[in-house]
Amino acid sequence: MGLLDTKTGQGRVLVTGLDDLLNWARLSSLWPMSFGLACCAIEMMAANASHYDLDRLGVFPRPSPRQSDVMIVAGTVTFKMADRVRRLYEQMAEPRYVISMGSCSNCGGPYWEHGYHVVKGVDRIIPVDVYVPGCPPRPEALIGGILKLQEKIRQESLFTPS
Amino acid sequence: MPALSAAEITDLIRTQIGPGAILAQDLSVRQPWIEVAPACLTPVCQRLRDDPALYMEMLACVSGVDRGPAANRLEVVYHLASVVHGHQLVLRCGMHRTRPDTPGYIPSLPSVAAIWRTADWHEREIWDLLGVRFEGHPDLRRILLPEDWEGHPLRKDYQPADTYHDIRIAYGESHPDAPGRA
Repeated sequence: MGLLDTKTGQGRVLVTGLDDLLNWARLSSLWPMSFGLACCAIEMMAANASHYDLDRLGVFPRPSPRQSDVMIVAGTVTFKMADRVRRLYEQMAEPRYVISMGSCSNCGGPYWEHGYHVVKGVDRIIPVDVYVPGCPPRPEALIGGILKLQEKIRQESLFTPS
Repeated sequence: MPALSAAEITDLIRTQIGPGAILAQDLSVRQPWIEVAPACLTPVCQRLRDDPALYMEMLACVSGVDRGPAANRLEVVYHLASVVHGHQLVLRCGMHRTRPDTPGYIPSLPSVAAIWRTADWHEREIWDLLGVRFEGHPDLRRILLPEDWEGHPLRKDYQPADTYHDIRIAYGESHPDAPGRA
């Protein structure tokens, strides 16, 4: 008996909702925009590398915003970088998601008071779906954020609400 | 050739450039320093760099210091070393922060980028953050902050603007039209 026989039962036919199928496909291949801004990016790279192996969740960094589904803002967003982050986000095709990784990106982090050059939260320039706390968050925390985003996508519908 | 003591280097500068070149000094500390008159900075540096007995070929660091509005003084500090001889010296150079009698006054010093290429980016950073203009610098643009930034943020009396490109700078309530949570 092959693997799929146990999954589908008899007749090689599977009945499901189109939303469920599309969402399952989308949440199983979340390709992030590959860029990092500070020390959080080191943790993100560790999460991508063999020890934590984000590829097993279908998370595979892309070198172009055109091919990316999710932007992981990993690090301190300076005002100089803010224009670039916003432009990269606008270049991503919809549906698109943002994970804000670490305290700097969430709210300015240690720069909240005297950081004349730091945006106090990337949600001031682009909409954020998931916030991952930590300074920097460990790879487990980032993976937790990605699982959270998967849960969010699982609840979505690409159809007009009826 | 042997390493020279800070006192020997200072004596060489006094005899070769002139007694007025050095305004103050403290040679008893761990890093001996001399304060150089701004008008003499270029000849002093050129001599320190080129004299075979001195040969300070390495400019380890250039720092800017704001002593604050009360002292009305900005400083630039040069850490020099000779790898060949193994001696070191710190130069300080001061200038007025503001001059009410001179409209449009911008604190300035002669650039040493032509003597040590290291100074190129260091002087750009001091211009960017403290607003010291280095005369004769090949390319004195901001190096860290965006080109259209206003002001020099490491000045003691710096006041941040309210917004930069319509993004509110201060912590707290963001703009009502900020994207927020998706």
